[in-house]
Amino acid sequence: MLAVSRQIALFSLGEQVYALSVEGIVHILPQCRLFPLPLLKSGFSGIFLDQASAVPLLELQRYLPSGPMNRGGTPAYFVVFSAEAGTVGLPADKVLHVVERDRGQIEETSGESNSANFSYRGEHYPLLDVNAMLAQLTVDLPTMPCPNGAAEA
Amino acid sequence: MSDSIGAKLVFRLAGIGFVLALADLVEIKETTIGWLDRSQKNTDLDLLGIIPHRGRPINVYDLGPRLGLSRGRRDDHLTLLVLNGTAGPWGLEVDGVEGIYPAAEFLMCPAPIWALAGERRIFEQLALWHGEPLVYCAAASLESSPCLP
Repeated sequence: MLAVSRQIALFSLGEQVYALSVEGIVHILPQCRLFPLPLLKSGFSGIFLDQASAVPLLELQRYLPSGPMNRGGTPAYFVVFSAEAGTVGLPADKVLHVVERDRGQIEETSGESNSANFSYRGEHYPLLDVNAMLAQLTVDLPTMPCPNGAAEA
Repeated sequence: MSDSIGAKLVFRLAGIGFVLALADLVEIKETTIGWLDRSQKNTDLDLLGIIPHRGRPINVYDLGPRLGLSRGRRDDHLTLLVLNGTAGPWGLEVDGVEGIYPAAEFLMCPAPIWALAGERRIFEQLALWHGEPLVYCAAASLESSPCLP
């Protein structure tokens, strides 16, 4: 069962939305440069620098419910999240709200990456279990070759 | 030269920056592929072949496959780093050498090894250089990688 803090942060990424327990959020960074790193597990799109620390960025699209992302370019924000495995970044285009958990409703689901949805003002936000997502990442070598040169985020 | 103590060499593979301690470097060798004896090539070992170095043959390796890097088609030019090895010098083919820089230009930080695939760690540290994270390689850890004899 996903432990949910008193406050929940709501984000959008393309046409998708998601929620995170505020307790795990370290801070939110504006768009910064994304770099390739050899041997990065599938599921990460690169690393970025956060105060001289290298943080891997999750490819969040694969974890959100099916549906088109309809987004181009790079995310406007990197949400730096402290997970059990380590510090990880999650992409976001918008920071929508930070709400008290009691102002919405948590509904359990059977999804792999989110054990619950947070319903708020008529919209359902997948409440992401970052620890479970990281635990599911494949240990296989990445299938995508690293791009030539660093990618601008 | 005292200025070279702790200096680091920056090189590129598939566009990604790598850094080596200058103390690990014997020579930077710019040559052509015609000098590479590919009769000894062994893809299982990432061995490209053998090349003469100061009158003796040395093995030349390509780290690209081991690092999951797609380096694409290369021309006839060959850039090699001749590195110190426990059993003698060996060669590492690279895409290009950026230069040698004082240690003070680099800020070391741990690589997010928990996010890396594979059990054997070829690298565990990154070196931040002008806002870019470079992969820090110790020649000894490269040499002890599974595919090197």
